Amino acid sequence: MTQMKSKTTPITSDYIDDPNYEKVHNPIFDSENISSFTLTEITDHKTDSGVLSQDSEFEIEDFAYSDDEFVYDDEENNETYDSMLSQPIKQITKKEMSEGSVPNLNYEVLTTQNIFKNMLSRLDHLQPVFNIPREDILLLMQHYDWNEERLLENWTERMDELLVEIGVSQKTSAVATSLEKKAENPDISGVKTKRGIAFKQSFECIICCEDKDTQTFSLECGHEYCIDCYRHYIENKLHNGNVITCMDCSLALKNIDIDTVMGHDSSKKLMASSIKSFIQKHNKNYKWCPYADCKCIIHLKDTSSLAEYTRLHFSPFVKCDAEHRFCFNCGFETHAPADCNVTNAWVKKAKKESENLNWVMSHTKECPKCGVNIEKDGGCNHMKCSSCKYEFCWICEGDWAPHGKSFYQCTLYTNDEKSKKKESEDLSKIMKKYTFYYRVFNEHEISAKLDWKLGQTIGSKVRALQEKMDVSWIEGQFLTDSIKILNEAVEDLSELLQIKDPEQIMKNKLEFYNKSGYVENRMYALMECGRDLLCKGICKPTD
Amino acid sequence: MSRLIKEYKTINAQDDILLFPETADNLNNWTAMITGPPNTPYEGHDFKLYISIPDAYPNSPPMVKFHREAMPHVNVNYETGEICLDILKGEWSPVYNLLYTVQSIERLLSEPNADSPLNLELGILMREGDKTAYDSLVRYYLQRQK
Repeated sequence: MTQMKSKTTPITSDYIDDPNYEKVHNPIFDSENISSFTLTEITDHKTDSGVLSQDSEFEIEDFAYSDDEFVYDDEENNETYDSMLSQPIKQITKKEMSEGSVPNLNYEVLTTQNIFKNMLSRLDHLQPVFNIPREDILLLMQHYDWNEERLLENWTERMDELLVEIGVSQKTSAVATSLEKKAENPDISGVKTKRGIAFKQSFECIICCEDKDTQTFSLECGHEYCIDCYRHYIENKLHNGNVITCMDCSLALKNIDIDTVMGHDSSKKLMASSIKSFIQKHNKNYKWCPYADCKCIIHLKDTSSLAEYTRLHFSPFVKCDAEHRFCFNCGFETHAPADCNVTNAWVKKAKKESENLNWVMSHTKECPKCGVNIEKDGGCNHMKCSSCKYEFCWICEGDWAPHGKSFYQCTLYTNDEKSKKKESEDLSKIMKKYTFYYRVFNEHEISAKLDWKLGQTIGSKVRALQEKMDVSWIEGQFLTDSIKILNEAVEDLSELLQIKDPEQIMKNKLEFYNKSGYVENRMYALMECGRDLLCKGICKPTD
Repeated sequence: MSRLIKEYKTINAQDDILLFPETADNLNNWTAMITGPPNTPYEGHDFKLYISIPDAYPNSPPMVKFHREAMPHVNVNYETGEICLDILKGEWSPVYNLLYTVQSIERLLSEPNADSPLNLELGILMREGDKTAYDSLVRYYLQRQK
């Protein structure tokens, strides 16, 4: 396998610009571009459909952004569109539908950089409306939590007050009529101070109370402190996500002021923390991908229909750019066909029972002879396996015969379980049931992990096909497509996928399609059935 | 450090303020005595404040506490003496000093804030707008301590 990899490096590098390139890395997951899965479409029109779906994404995006808070002006921002193409709004696939995904769930995958970019383009968009510097609009927007409507409303009503309130300008006794005049000459208290850094000899800073030759910083308000104190102050505030003001009044520091004081672009940190707090505040629409170290943010604009879908046991499964799939509602990994309630109940149960399960594990023993699990539910330590009739001692797990009449002599083990017998019988029944399902769950989880590993090898198989059989990469994708379905494995298909010989693989090509089609349909049916059981109330989560 | 020394000098120059370091050679722990403001249930009582200065002062606020189980107030945790006041948390600014902090706490006695209760019992009475009950309960607590 490793040999093949090293040989094919030049070929893969050609595909780096290919939109499907990432599939090589994540062969298990569905591409969002192909919604239906038929043999002809994939083999014959693969390239076409790729292009087509790109177009349609474009349209969806166009539509979706039009009523968003980050509206793009179609003609003006062509280059924004280009950059946004890498973040297509995801469309639901047939598979996701059958899992009980909310149909036509429109969401976008963002990063903090995307959001920041969006914010900046909003500023460009709003600048002509406000006719004040972008930096000032940024302050306003931060204060208004990017709620443009509310800001604009207040802006038209009382723009001067607002500017003072938010710390863009100082209180003026003689109200300046023109905004520009105001920006230039905000200080009327008589003490004219320039915003920025100055150098002062033997300056006494009232914060650190040190008398020294130092750089100082002040805003128009004239509250002047040494640069060290200002740096400490800003450093402390960068992570709060709020607008930083002068230490003594409400005049705000703009990003450029922050960078000037700090000597580097620290305002980025402030923007990042500001975005974080924005997401925190709008956690109904924005969710961080719950996977460790994943920086993706899912933005779901319209959550109004979710409640209705929840009633129908649909779940809003989303997928981030790192291909992590999770439920937007409960934040757990995809849990089809179970809905959020069932999943929650299961997770809670698993948490609660894990202690009990430990108890079971430590209180049951395998028969020393036949290995069957035995729980001692009372009685003495003279055990007789109901399966193989082997007689042994519960304490030492040795043969009973040599124990003779010296009952309870193995250790000083005291047996006080008799009185609790009835109670523990009921308990153990539930426990057994739970343990059984927990084990099933566990086994499936393990086997899913193994399948994932198998999936990892598919990429190299595709490359081997290219190498040895002269099959194009696109054509070789049938392998990738197959593995996607193996996640919910069926043995035949799994066997096919174990084939190592490239020639053999090509020979069995049709077989791949047949089997994977079969598995896929079966899976849909099962998912559908599971959801049905929930809808009809036949299955219910219990404690 | 020079900041604390300067504050110490300023405070010492005024003789009507009861704010002093616990020991003369250590400016990191202070105590203050505040008197209950007139026309409040705290009138006629004195309260001791314990102030400890973090290393990052004045960039971080001083940590201020009442004596435990001594201050029945909606914004004070009765058991621990912990105070919930904006300037002691996020709203702290390095331009504030110890004197200002103590004065703010004094003001808090006459202007309790029901929105950030640490004493739920009193917080509920206050939310209900039952000032008589609130004041009586405070008086009861204070009386009991004597």
